[in-house]
Amino acid sequence: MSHVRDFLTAAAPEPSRPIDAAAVVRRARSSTWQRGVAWGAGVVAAILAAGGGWAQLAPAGPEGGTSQEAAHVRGPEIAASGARSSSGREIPVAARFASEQRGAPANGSAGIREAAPANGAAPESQAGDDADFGPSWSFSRQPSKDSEGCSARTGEVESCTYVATRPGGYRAGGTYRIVIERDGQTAVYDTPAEDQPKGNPCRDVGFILPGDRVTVSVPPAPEQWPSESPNVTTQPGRSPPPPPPGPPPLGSVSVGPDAHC
Amino acid sequence: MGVSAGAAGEVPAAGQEVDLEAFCRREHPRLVGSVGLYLNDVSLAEEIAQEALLRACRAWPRVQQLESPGGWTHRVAMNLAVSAARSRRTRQRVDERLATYARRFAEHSDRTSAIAMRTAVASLPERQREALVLRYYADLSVADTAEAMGCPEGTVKTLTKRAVEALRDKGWEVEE
Repeated sequence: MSHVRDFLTAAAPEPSRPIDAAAVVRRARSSTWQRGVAWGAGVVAAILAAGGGWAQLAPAGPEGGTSQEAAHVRGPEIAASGARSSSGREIPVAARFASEQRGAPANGSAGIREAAPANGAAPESQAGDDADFGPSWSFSRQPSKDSEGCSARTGEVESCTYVATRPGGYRAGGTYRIVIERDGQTAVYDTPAEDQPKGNPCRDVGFILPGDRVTVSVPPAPEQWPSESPNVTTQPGRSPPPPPPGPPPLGSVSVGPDAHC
Repeated sequence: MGVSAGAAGEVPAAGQEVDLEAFCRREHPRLVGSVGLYLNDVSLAEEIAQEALLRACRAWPRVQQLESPGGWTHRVAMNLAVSAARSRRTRQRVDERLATYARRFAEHSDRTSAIAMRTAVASLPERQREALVLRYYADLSVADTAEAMGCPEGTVKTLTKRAVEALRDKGWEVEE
């Protein structure tokens, strides 16, 4: 009678060859998070450099690093709802990125309003989820809180949340555009006019992956904005200050690991 | 400003590479063994083992602080294996391999061969197999096995007990 432990040890297969551990570590180093963070940093730098208007933003290179391309200001474009290819053909953004989405809703536009509180107040942020109200766009990519169980079942778990604020402060309404370029293809997503300039690309347009070239833009309409930025920052666990007069403040949306599990 | 600085900690720093490589080399055979026992498919087990190690490397700053980084990686690997086993394609491959092994077993009747033993393990019900491999090959504690499988500890004990009994019923003289 042998112990089942010995039995299993004798039965277990052996690797056909030793693992190339250095290659695994290299691959881990060059993937996801470093690129994501560098990409986010590049986006923020580019937005700050743009100072408003239409800002074309470029992610950092695949190995990370600093922003490789500064933003440049472009003239306003006509924003329209829907997702189109660069040639104007309508394409299902969510479906096109379905392999990366892993569980995000098929509806490429759902999610922004449904997560915003009814009173318009910014909800409590999640850890690592900055909710800035100021003259900038910002992106953040963050690991999920529970990547162990979740990632094990779904592959990559990437909770990518963007919080975008118009130069001059927040306002409700208006449109903003997200353009994702990947492997020579372009997907364009324009939010409906009543949406808010913040949301989650996982839910809005599908997964944005490190290495994608992402352009986020908003048409300038300064006459519709408050004269001064309220300069409010919401920290995790703290309630935001009361909103100033004018349009209601914006909610923030983030997709955590549950959305992908 | 809006970039999450926490994400930077998810990438192994250059100084951690030696540790990580040693970790990968140490865990790789065990991972292949666990997943190979579970799936009865060595090549797929190698793929899954590598993917699990890659994930451990990506999350290393956090994983290395856990009581058992190897256990965490095993959980990831086994979850991947469970997902893989549930896909139709893999199921077909597993079935084909089981049939092949069963034929070989019948032909040679070599009860001491690893193939015969793996065939016996592979014939166990899925949950029994998972519990048995995690508990007695990956050497996870009952609590860790329960957490990995998402079930109470008592269920793990029951599953492993039944698995051992099933192996005995098939003529293998094993005990817990």
